[in-house]
Amino acid sequence: MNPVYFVPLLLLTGCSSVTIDEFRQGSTSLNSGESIVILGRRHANNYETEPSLINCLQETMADKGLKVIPEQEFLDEFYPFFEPRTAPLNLPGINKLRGQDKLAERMSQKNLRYLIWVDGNTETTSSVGSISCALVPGGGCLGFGSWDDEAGYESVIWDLKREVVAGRIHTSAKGTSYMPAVVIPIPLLAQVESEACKGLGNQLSEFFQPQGEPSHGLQN
Amino acid sequence: MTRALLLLVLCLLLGSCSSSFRVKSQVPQPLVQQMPITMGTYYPVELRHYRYEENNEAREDWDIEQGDAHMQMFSRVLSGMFKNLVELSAQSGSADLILTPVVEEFQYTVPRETRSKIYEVWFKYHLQLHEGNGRLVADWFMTSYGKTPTAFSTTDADGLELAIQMALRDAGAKLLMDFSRVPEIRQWMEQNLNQHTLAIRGEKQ
Repeated sequence: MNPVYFVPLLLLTGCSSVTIDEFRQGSTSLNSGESIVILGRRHANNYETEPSLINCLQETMADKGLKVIPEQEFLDEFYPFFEPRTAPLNLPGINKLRGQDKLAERMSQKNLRYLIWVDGNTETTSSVGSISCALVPGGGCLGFGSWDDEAGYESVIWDLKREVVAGRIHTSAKGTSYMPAVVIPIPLLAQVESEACKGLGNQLSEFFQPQGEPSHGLQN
Repeated sequence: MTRALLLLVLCLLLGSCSSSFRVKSQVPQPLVQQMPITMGTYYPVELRHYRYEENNEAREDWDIEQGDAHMQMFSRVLSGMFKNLVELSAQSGSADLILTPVVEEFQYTVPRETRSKIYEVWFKYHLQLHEGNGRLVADWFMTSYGKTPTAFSTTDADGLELAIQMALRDAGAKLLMDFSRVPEIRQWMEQNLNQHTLAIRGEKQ
């Protein structure tokens, strides 16, 4: 069979959908020189917010001209205050931390205005089908599999200057991936995490532009 | 050639051929107010050469060399906590206090054992704090925990190493936050550090 026939198949992906709900408390904007940091919550014992999602959000927002401090750089420079064991869970917690002179001084050096916590993950919720492969010369695979991935991320935006929760954004995404196998398996993957990142990243970027009316229930 | 290829495929299917590795500490310099005392460290042979060798036949044959990583973590954290840090060869010497850490226990789980998608690691440290003259000030245990999801690693060795890195960071964070909350250490500090120093560190209201 001509390999060219496989190219369109490889370009196909599974389907996915993203839903975003935003709650904004008052106006938000970022003054010149002020920076943002996006941190993943890692204190739950059965999942972790993926660093890949946080990196993706950071890149999406940086592309829109926002000054975003990379997560690992922030965690290292503020060690040990934002580790899973020690990270403040609410605003009073971070206000108490700011009583530490060195920490307050570094926050000021970084001109840190907003801290965004992202909590959630992407996981496979169900799968059906089976694929059998023979590991012998002339063998191959035969079968069909499909699985559903679901993502749920809750973002909370802390305004460190006004000492308030500036807003919350809930993002959910789901998608189904397929893998037909006739001799070779052909994965048609739903990019659930990256779709969630794209939707949330754009929404967060809009969040820091001055707006008159809050937006609700956006569908991507 | 065919045999080598089959061996490679078998190794890939099993997840990893290498079950021994050496851990490096990546704990950063802490952002805390230093205490104006000289802290000594005494790293006994058990810590210096600490390695985990798996004895359970049902598990993979791990040999994880960790001694350097633990020493690096303690030295990095203590150098941030105290004005001066010296390494000593005994539990007494020219220092206000001397910390002796030992890894008492190391435990881990890999995803196929727990049916979760997470590598987990626990450390239990036995810590002793002496004055320079050898008098024991405090003797306590400290635990730390690290985890990493399977998605971040390609092999069990990668997953365990990342989880150990996280557990070392956690141990450093716990030592930094809880050191002066150990009752005997708190009492020593109240007797030996002035009120101004305690106030700077937020130890005294």
